[in-house]
Amino acid sequence: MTETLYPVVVLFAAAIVALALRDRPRFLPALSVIALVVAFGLVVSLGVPQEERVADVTLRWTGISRLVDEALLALLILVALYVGLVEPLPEFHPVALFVAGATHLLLVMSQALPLFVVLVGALVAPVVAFVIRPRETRSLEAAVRYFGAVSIGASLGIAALGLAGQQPAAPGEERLPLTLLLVVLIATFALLLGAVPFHVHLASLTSDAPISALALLFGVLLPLTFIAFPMLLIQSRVLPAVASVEKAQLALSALGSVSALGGALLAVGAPDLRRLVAYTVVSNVGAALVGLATFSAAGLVGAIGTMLVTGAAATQQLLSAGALERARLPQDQGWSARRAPLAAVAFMLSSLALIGLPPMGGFPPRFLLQEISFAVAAPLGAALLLASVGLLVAHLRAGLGLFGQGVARNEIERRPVVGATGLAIVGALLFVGLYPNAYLPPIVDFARQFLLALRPF
Amino acid sequence: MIAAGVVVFASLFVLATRQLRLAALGLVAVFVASNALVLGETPRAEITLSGAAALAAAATLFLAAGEASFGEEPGWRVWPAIAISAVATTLAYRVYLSPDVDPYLQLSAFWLLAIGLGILIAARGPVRTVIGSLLMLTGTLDVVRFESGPHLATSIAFAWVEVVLTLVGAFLITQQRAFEEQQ
Repeated sequence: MTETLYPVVVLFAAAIVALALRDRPRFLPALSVIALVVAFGLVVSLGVPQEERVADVTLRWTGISRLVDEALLALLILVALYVGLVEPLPEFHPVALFVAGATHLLLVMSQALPLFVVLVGALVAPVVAFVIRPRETRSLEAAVRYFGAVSIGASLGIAALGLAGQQPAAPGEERLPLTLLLVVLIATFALLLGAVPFHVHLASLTSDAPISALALLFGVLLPLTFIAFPMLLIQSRVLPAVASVEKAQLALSALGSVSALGGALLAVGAPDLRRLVAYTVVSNVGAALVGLATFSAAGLVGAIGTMLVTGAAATQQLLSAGALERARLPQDQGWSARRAPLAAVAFMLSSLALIGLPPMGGFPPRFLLQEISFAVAAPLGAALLLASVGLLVAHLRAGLGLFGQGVARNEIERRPVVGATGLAIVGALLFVGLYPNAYLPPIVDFARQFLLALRPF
Repeated sequence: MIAAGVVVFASLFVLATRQLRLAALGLVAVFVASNALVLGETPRAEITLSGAAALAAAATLFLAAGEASFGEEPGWRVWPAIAISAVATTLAYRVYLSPDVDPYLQLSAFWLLAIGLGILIAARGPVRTVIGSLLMLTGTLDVVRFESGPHLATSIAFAWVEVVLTLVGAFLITQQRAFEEQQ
């Protein structure tokens, strides 16, 4: 057995055990957290770079794989703690362990099709954790809609990659209409990422699914899906040809700017904190797609950095929204920080990171995105700037709503689990904001690799 | 040609039938015919693997149905699904038809992709959604098989995705059944 697969074995074995122990919810959180911590330790101990061959698949462990795996595993540990201590949800643990294992497997894959197939498995698994109220059909309908969207994306993506696999390595000798192939691939990722206007399945899910499942989706899976996109472009044979297909670049830029602006507008009108976070993530996905569409090092670094920070901040905000929901009393109107002030403070501090304001970690990558988009085309830069302003307004509005009623000292929650874990994430976001070299170098290496694959000659 | 015909008619049967158990049997016919199209060109190990995954998927759906009468009324949604699949198959066949690949395999692949997409777009409940996704996935496997030669890693990956999709789909179906029983 190869060393790079040890975390996968641990996590998949723990997922199977967690599935078998679903009727004994007392042991599940401990099992889940221990397995995730062990896997995190194994990931940290793996040296980079490594390359091994298993069957006919080459496994490659690089700096970007390690960075993304560590960040997402750390988030999963925090969400598993939240489920164990605050919101019991037995279905969550096997799903989280499976997703963690699939995340590691995806990050070591070096072939396009197996990578995509693993991504599909990771995206489909959370459906089990989305259905909470069998007596009501809304969460079931939302889960079915999400399942359908992922299935369409999966099949289109696999078909596009299968056809791309037949392309000859040298550009200019393509046997198939490349533009159509690229458009199918872009549509696939638009669907899987929930970019506007392909976001309907995510919107219906946001109000009906449990908060921990949403944190898994918006905090872990969407950033992972986004990062898988450039990895997949490198590994498929379409990348050198992309540079010669201007329409594909245009389609990606248009999709990104529509999603950035649309997500920001939807966030401004969001009726609750869950939707505010979801639409902010959708907007940031759009901004990151614009960065990717520039096919430049700065754009790619900004895009991946934005998605990693978005994942961490969105996870924190969703958990805070869950804590604020639980602290609400039937007579309360709207959202208030009265009973969970620590969670509300962490929520507002994470807003800085999500919008891309200093001194939080979202600022350096957002600045890069803004700069490169203005350099490529002024309207593209203006769209991202408008999106940032929209997000700022949306989060300021939420902050005013949260703290408008002050804080009730005698009603404050006794065990501020979310506030504490939230402040840990905020601390990490502040650290990477003040010292971006803590996480940007592996992304820069990856961007260099991407550009080499884009222009090999 | 016979195998391609079976693929088309069995998938239409799956689309039109109300009972999930009958649809699962129809899916078996689609899987068998789809594999028969590549019998001479694909290694037996791969055929066995994809056949086993397909059988497991059909059996899981059969069991998830719980009783013979359980299913979803297709209603008017059959027609837009058929229209979408007919138009999409014709378009894909005209744009992508390759002289190097068996035309019946291409027809089967494009048809399954298109009818799966049609069912998924028109679906509202878990039964049709799962059926649509399995048909579409079978079509994508046919697309991958356009390139002759062994695809062991890909076949393993496909079998994995098929089983994962079916298990998650079966979970949704059992939730739907629980809801209907409570009503």
